[in-house]
Amino acid sequence: MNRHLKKSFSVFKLSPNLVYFDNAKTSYQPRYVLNKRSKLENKIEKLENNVTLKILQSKLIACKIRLAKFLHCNPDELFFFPQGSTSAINYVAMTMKIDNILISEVEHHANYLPWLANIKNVEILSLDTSSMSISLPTSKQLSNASLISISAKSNVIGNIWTNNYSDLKKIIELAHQNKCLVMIDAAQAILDPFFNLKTVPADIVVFSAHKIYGPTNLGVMFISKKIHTTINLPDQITETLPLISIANFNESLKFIKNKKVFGNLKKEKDLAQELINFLNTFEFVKIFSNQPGSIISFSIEKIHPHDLADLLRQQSIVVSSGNHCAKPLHDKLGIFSSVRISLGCYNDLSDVLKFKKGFIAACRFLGIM
Amino acid sequence: MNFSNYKKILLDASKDLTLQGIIINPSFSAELTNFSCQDSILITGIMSVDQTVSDIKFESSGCILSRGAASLLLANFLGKTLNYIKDFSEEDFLKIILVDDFSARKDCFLLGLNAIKNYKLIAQAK
Repeated sequence: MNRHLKKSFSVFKLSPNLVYFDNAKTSYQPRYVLNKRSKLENKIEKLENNVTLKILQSKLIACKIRLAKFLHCNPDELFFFPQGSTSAINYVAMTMKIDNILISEVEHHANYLPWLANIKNVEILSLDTSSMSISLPTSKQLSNASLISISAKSNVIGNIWTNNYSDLKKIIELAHQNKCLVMIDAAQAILDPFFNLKTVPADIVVFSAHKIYGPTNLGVMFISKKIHTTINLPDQITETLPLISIANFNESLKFIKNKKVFGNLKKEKDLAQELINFLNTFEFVKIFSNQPGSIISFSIEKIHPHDLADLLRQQSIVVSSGNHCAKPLHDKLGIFSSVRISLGCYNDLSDVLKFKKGFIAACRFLGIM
Repeated sequence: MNFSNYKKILLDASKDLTLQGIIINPSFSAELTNFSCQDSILITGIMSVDQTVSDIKFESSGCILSRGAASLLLANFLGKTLNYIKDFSEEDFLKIILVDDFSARKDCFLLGLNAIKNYKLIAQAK
């Protein structure tokens, strides 16, 4: 998270005081990626249709190759481009003919509701609130289930798997031994340097582009070639794909690689630790994230998260408040909503310092300090 | 620090306990939960024989803005008729809470108003 990274994003030039801590919801796109998109759009406006299609097809292939590198898999694996991870999960829920599924208690509504609506038996792996980790499925649960659909990272409490996903890998191996498929919602984990198809050898992986500096309305669904006969593959005709967005996303992936966004995750942990240490100094703050990472959620005694978030927003500090589309998890934690800080590649120590000042000002205003 | 949404009048009203609570055997009641944040409000009131609101109380779990706005709103409805409540608009409400617009917190500000617009009559006027 270098200071110069901020310069790649127009928003920080226009609003230099902005502290954007809501990257788990959506992230900004780098200026040069957006410029490339408009240049491409201008270019294809002047070309004949067949030439345009050829250009865009080459971008599509380039994007698939880049995605394969990104996920540490073979480029001839199957990549599909739904509108986002939610629509990808909905697709699987509506087309897979299964009776039993295993999900976890920390899931986003997007990985909850499609199953409740379409599958007869939905079993839920519980969250251990002391260690903030998911319980391992029993052998009975595994033998009954046809699919496990689970998050690689919670959008509320952040990391839920320890030892670089080794416990998640163990679940996947056990599932495969029981002929059970595994789908991973990687919307929050996809930028984690330890997350790939070697560490998490899932059959299906879904994520959204807009959370990793890419365009909105575009998702990625990886489907392992091994299971292509057991699942109805999406019928995607090249001409009808959002090719401009895919070309745009290809540039975002280049940005992530070129700017070494991955390499800066140690700094992300340092910033997270700094924020956790700061929040821990207040008795009235309860932090729900167990490991320092890009997502930190907390609540404040007797203060509504919306009030704190609004008071921070009025000081140009953007955090998220509410149940973050994870009501079952909030019920488990015994709260109705929380405040969430989620870090991105452009956040730095100056943002943390501004947050500290803003947080203290808001607490003083609310009369709790 | 100037926090534009959080006017003193709203902060004071959110702490004011005068109208907070539940009326046993009310003439009318209204209830609403904000779907996105789960904030909720329960309003109970008594209508006198001249068809005006003689007592009104609310119980809510919510942010400062929803509680403060509800408190100011219901205080304004004391002594008014149910027809007045029905015709009471969002613009009228802005004048009471002294903010220029609802900004991004519209659902918070309007929780009480949206609830009472769908009141249910329970008993005869007292």
